[in-house]
Amino acid sequence: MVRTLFALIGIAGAIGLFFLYTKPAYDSVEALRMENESYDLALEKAAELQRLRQSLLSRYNAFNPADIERLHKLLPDHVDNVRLVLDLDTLASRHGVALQNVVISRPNTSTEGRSNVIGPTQRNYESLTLQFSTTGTYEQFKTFLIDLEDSLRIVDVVDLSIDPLSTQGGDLTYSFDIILRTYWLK
Amino acid sequence: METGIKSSFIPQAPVVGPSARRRGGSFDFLILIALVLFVASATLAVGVFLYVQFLQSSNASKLQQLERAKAAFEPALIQELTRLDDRMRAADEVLAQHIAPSALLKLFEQLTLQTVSFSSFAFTTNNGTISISMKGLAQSVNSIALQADLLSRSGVIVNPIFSDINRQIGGVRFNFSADVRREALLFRSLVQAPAPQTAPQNPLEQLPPSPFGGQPVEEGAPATSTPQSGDPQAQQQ
Repeated sequence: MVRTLFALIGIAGAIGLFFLYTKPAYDSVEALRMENESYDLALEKAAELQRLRQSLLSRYNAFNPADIERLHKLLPDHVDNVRLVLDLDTLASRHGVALQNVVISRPNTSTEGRSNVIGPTQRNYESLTLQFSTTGTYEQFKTFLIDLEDSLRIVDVVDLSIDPLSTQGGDLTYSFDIILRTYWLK
Repeated sequence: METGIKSSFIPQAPVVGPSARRRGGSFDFLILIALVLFVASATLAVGVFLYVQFLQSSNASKLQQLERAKAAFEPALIQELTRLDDRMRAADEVLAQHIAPSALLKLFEQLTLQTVSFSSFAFTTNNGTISISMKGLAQSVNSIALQADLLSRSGVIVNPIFSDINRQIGGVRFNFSADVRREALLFRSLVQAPAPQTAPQNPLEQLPPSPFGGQPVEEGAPATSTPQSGDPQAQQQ
């Protein structure tokens, strides 16, 4: 009778141990194994990214710092419109013309955008327009315009109108109304 | 005679039937089964326990490796590289769209006949389309026709339209409007390619350096190197 009791207790203990500990623990083993595999995958990716990082870093170090500085001037982090107006004024005065009636405004993105798709823009840069007028001879303005196109800080001529104004010293002077667009990185 | 006295001293034990022995054997077997099951279950539990401990320590170790790898990435450096990549891509896009309207002025300097002058110029861009409009004065309608032909063949001016042609004292006034092929004004292509040579088709029609302000001269007259002065208001009227 006692032996039977021990046998039954043993069987019940075995079954209880299995269902109360072994089975739940084994289920958690599955989850742990999956977590382990995901860590392995992540470590492989990390190693791959580390190699990529080294490759990119070596390429980055190969860049001339002066070129990177020029790139920053080409597309600055901020609009810095005051500096832009000062630079334009300096450039204009170098060609004997002066900026007048400077107006700065953000373009209407719904009409100005380069795509007709409605929705958030995919561009990672912003732009604003700068309008001014000036007077001078055709040759003065042409050289100013060429320097403007060649300037490191990119400005695009959006609108330009040339109208005759008067004659000074035998040379025709014109009024030039110009709208420029400049860009900066978001 | 029956005395009731047992004639044998050999104890006569009750005969144990085979069923009782069989019952005791089944008890042993049951205990054996129970023992085996319990040992197996305990072994399995211990194995699972050890495996769980192993996996947990392995996961913790790999998590630490990942943290170290993440720190080794230097997020500030990655951000700087990403920013530089964005800047290069954006600059490339902006440069690809950058136009040089001075090329258009140079084109008109080369293509404007000596018998034609323009008094105003308007240049407009809208969603990538470039259009121009000008007011001009020509010596004759033939000059306008020749000018239209030259502009059409330039490859830069698209859909040239001469309108409001009005013969007046001093010449024929006209309005001119056209679209401009954007590719011809792209700064990148202008920098990479040599300047186009667009010689006048008619040697008698020599071209002034400035298409603006000059009065049209007689056909066949020698070209002047500077724009001629005149009353711009009178030209515009």
